[in-house]
Amino acid sequence: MSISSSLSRTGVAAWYERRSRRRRSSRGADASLAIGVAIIGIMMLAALLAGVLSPADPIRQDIPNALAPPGTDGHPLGTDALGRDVLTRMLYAARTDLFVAVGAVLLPLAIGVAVGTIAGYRGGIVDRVVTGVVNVVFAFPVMVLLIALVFILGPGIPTIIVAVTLVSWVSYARLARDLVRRERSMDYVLAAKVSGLPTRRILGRHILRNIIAQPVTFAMSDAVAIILFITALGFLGLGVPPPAPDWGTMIADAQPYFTTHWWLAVFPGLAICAAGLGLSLIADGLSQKWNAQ
Amino acid sequence: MAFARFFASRLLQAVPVLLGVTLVVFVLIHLVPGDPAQTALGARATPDAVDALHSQWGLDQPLHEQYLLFMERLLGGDLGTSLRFGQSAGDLIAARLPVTLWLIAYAAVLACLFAVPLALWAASRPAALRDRVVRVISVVGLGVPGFWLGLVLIEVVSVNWLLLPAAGVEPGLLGHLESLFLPSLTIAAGMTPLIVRSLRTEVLRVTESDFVTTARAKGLTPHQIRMRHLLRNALAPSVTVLTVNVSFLIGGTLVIERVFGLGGLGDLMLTGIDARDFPLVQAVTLVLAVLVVIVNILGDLAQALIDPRVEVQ
Repeated sequence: MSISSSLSRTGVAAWYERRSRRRRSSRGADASLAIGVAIIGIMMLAALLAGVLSPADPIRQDIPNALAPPGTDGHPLGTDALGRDVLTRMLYAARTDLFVAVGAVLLPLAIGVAVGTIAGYRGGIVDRVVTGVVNVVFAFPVMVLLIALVFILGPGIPTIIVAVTLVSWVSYARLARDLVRRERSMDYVLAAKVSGLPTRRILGRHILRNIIAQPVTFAMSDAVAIILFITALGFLGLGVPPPAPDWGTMIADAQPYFTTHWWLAVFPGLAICAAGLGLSLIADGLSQKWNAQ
Repeated sequence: MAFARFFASRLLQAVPVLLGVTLVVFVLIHLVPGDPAQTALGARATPDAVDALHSQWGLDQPLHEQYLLFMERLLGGDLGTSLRFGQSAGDLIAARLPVTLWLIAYAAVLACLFAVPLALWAASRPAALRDRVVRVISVVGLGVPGFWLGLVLIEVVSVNWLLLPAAGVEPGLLGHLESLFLPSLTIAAGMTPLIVRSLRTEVLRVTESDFVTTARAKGLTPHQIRMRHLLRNALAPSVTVLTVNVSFLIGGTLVIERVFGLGGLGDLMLTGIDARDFPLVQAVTLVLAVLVVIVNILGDLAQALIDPRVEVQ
């Protein structure tokens, strides 16, 4: 009995089982992707339409109406300690944080993949130098180096993007390097080489196209971390300079009022969670699709 | 003997990384836009005071001389002098280090307590309901900001339920365990999703290996296999996963210390930043990076002790 059942598992039944498992997981991947894209899409749309959705001024103070609870006339999510409309500030904060996050993900992705691809393809001294630099940057705790760089370079959105880029290009570089090293001895690369294609074309047209899926998937999960880093910088007072709104700064400002006016800290926190969830669902869906192939 | 050789070669590998780390920390001060001494002292500083700081930091010398001076001081155990406290940065760090180390260790232990059972549970039936539940937990957990979770926990557990202290560190072992519980829990909550994912993959890989098939063929129950074979073989990868995430762990500590007012290294660094205290910020950055390198070496050693197949690449 046990022999026959174990035999059947190795044959057609196993094939069916594997196929149905793959189908099930691909359906899961599609669902993750769809929900994630929907969340991020809605948030980006709300950020872009901030002025239309909420006509209030995000930085105009109105002290007499400070600390109004959610549901107050004209202030659906209430007002903060300076009487500024919370919903409006959250929408403009989405604009800042999502914009900074896009820059802080795309720049390291582009630089890291370019450097890693060249290092992996060239090998030799170039590879050793790049690997050395990558190992050194990896030795620093990300948040520590990020805080030190933002402090040194001074506050502002460009600083944050530059600091994140300096810290996080290394992950992409290492990933791309390893992928290219595996790829460069493949037949199609050798064929391209033999047929006399210039290196730039081999790298750009052939190798890059074959390896890019993995760095892009990684970029989506990296984006989750980046959102958390940016808002943590804001929370520590090292983020986007005031009075421009950012979710992290809003939470820091709300900290003294938590016991009496909890919503001031809870709403921006939930906004960060939602952005994080959307991005990590996209990352999850992409990596499941990648694994299924 | 083989272990001693492993240890030696692993230490040797760390030397260039440590050199690079010192170079990065050294360069930090030169990235300051304008004159760092002027920036540190403020616009109203006298030219004499600025000059004095220049010569104290060695900024009046050529770059390579400066680095040699920096390294010479460093190897003599001098991490620089804090402007804000007028004290050796090394002493300041030594006084604050224990809290930070406590927090890191405590959070790592809690994270393992959550992650290992979750990963084993999820991996016991891949693609089944339990696997999907664990996946959802980790996907949701990844996006929660630690500093915010900390604030919410303080509000709920300390303020509303009056259960644990909201801030500060109590003396003694029990006091530490109690007062550092919430901060460690906050950090552990951020780490658990990362560990669960990698660990689940590792356990699945082990499940498909030959010795598990053999154990199954011998007629061992799934429970016996899990306890005797899977768990032990999953230990080595969990050590790896922990050490890979130690940099995340230390970074998390930095922010969480501020939320709970713990006065560790993170707090020291942020105080240094508020005071534009460049030497102090440099010193803390350096120490934390060295800490990561040390933990990585320890992780590799633990790995070698657990699994005799491990070799230095």
